[in-house]
Amino acid sequence: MYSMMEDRILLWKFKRGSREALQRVYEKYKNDLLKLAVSLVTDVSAAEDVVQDVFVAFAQSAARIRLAGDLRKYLMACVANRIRNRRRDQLRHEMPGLDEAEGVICSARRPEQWAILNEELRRLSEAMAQMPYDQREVVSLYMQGDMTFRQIAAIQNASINTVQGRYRYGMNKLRSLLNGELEE
Amino acid sequence: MRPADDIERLNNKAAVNTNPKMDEAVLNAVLAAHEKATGEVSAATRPSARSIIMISPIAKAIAAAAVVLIAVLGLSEFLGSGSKSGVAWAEVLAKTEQTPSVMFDMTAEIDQSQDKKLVMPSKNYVADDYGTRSDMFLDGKLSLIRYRLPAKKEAWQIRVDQKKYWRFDLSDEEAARGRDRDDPRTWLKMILSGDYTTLGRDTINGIVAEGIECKRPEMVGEDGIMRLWVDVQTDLPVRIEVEMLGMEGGQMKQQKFVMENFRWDFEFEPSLFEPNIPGDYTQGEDPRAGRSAQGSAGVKQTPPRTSPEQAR
Repeated sequence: MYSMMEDRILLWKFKRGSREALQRVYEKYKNDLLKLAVSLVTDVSAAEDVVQDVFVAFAQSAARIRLAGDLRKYLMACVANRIRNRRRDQLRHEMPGLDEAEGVICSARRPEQWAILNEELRRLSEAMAQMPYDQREVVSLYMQGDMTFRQIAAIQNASINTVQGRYRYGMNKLRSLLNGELEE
Repeated sequence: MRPADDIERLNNKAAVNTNPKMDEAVLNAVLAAHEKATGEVSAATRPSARSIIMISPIAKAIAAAAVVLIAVLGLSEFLGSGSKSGVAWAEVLAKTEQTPSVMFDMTAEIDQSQDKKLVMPSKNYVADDYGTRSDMFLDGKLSLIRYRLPAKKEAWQIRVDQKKYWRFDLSDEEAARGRDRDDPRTWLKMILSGDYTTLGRDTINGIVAEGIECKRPEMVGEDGIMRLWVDVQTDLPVRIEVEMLGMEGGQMKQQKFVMENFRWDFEFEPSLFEPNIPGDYTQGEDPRAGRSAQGSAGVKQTPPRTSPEQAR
């Protein structure tokens, strides 16, 4: 409850125009959001764009946001929803996009790169990229977003049973992909 | 080790850091968006309904007359602002501050769907010398034990239903927060820190008590409400209620927390605050281990997920 209270105070100040509260939210959650975004889209540049978009949208929402719950989960859900929307738009316009770079994470660091991945995240993302997107989303939101299956079901507009099934399949796939590496 | 544990371990170690130069650039873009949005909102702010109504001289006269009537007829008592009860409200917090320990029950109720609620009762122990302990129950069974021991700068979470436990080191800052967490006196401070409405007398768990209620939007959101019931004989709290809306499954859901059956100045056995881990329990990864120093500055203070699908 204390963590929730701390975020509530930040939100309360943010809604009243506090730059400091917004800055604190940014500092507190940027790495978690980037980690989730990198796991979901694997392309680091696209992940950075999504997280920046989420923070900008959040910054613009001060007057209308009505959130009394878990701020971290809310922002995580925003990242997942924004990625889903981008994927849908790209599929609709048949544009190369988020999934184009999947399977290979650019190992060369661009000079203007925002997110710097450690080796473990790179390995995890590479494995995730080989999973169907719905399974990857369930596994990422469950492991990194600390969301329940019920919460993920709401995001995916699917039943809890479906989400649990995707989690099982996703974890099995992840196990088989990482099996050799993890035994090292 | 099972593969799932390996994946969990890899996930916990997986981390991202940020390039400070880009960090600054992104933050500036975010702050600029905020500044622009808040500027536009203030410029576009319309007068509130109340201020429109009060512009009318007739409305002003009616409002003034109502104030006079309330004063003359003593209606303010019925409107409930201020306190005329026998409880010395200013003494309530002072009295509890003088007690070094308290034991109480808490019930958390969270709406899950239209006709379903997650109900989680807990037994809670707070001692200034040791810290806090919460024993949480699901479906009548002990599910989770949570310790916070600032003196030892450590916290523990034990999932009895999973035979698993986690141990966390508390930073100096986290330890200095002391008894704030899970301590009913934190809620008392909030309730008694501003205006409140009296609720009159009622019998709470067999004790004659007087109540007040208040809104503290900065703490419990715009729709939240807090109530405090205090024993008229002892000036000690007998029940604290917190109702608020919280995000659950992507939707705003009603949440209610009731703290009651307080035993103030209860003498605890020191062993109550010593985590006793059975031999067949396994240690879980510290979820903060893979996060950056920045991210880990705020302790992940929520207990491990205790949703029905996990707690089975």
